[in-house]
Amino acid sequence: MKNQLYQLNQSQKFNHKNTKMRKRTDYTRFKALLTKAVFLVILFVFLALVYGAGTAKNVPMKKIEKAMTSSKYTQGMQVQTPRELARYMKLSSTDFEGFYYARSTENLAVDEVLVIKAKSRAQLNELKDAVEARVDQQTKNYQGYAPKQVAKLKNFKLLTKGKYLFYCVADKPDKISEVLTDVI
Amino acid sequence: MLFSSVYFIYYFLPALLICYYVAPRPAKNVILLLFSLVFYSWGEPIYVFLIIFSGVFNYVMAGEIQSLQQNSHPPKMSAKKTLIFTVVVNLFILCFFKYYGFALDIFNSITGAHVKYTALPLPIGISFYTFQALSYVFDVYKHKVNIRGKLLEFMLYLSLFPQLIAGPIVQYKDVETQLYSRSVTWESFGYGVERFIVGLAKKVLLANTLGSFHQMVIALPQSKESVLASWIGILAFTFQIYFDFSGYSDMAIGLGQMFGFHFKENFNHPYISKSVTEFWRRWHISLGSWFREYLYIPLGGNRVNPLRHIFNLVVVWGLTGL
Repeated sequence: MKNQLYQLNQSQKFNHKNTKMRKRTDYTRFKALLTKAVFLVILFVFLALVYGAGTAKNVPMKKIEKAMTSSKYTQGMQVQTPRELARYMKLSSTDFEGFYYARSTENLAVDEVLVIKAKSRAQLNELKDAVEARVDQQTKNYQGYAPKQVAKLKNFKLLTKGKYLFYCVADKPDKISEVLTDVI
Repeated sequence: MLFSSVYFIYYFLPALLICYYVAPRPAKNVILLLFSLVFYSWGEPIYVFLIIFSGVFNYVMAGEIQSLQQNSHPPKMSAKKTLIFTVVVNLFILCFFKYYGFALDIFNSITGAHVKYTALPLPIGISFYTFQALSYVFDVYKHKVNIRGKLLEFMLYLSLFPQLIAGPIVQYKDVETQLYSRSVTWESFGYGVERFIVGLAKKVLLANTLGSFHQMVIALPQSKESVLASWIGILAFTFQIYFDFSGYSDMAIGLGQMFGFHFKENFNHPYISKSVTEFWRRWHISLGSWFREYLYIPLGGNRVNPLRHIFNLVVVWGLTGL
């Protein structure tokens, strides 16, 4: 009898231990699954954000040009030709799908706006380099005798969206960039 | 940011060197990690979250694999499942950014559908850090590496800026000790500077110049192309890609030396090779080693029947091309 009671007690203890281990195992499995699920959710949310941020409507350059020229922030700027694009920005208009380039009509002002629709996103890095080179050159040109212009150059705006690149030196570059982002 | 750019040589590198050597030893890895992330975010800032995600994800999964292998409950099969899950997610991220546009183009042309999509810029160095993360996870699974418990060092291994953009692919076990303790002597620092300058010269003086020749030749109209011009263009391109790639590797190795890291060589005079096999043991050595160790040998290598050997080669080279 005593033996039977002892064996019953031992088997109850064993079952209890087994149940505890099974619960721990189930909890560990649940935690592992939950971790994986959380990572997947974060990944897909991030990919959706990246995709959304990278998109831009495919808008004809004429529409962008119309929006830019009718904006009050670009009054006082004159639209430039492909020759002037090559001269000032060192860019060839035939390399891109389209461009809009305007510069201030005043001789000693650095205000300018450039919108380029690249043929591929791969071109955007090269365009960014060209813009940075332009800003550096302009800063060197005006350093020392036109502090207001140099200050404008330091606050230049450069952004890319989809295949579009936007560059602007002006009193309110953010307002001008909004004109473009509203269109695309 | 390129190693050959003014921003890197005159601003980033001097600032990093000053901060690194002024900082106390416990802070050096933090400084290096922060600067590496800044370096990475210079191009497309949003993708710095992707490399952080990749680091945290692979670190946590490797930890789970190790803990599953050490416990008898649940069964060890779960460690393999976690490994497969980790590999699939890593390859999904890599293939998504590289090939989803291509895949949709194929789908559109086969089915006649007009599914529109926006091409996303490729995250810089995604192949390199994905392979490095996978090598870490495989090494943990095969008990070649023990997790020391620090996410910081793993993130540093993944995002270390010298080899982040263009390799060499560094295996975790090769740099594990260096991540936790390393020293720099004047000689090794000097060698690092010398190696960096050699790499810079290869890139800027040789590769870019030869690249211009090549561009001039391919821009020639067909009526003005001559046999000599074509051969000059071919040779120019051949040496352009060598000097460009090996120059970057030299700069990466030199920069690593400046901070106490010793990376393996990635190029060994590949154009003197006498066979294709020898060529791939001299060109992008770290890539060949990675695929040999983590794919070719586990598949059986050449110690299998001829049909299986062919299959192994097709798989390895297919994925290498990918």
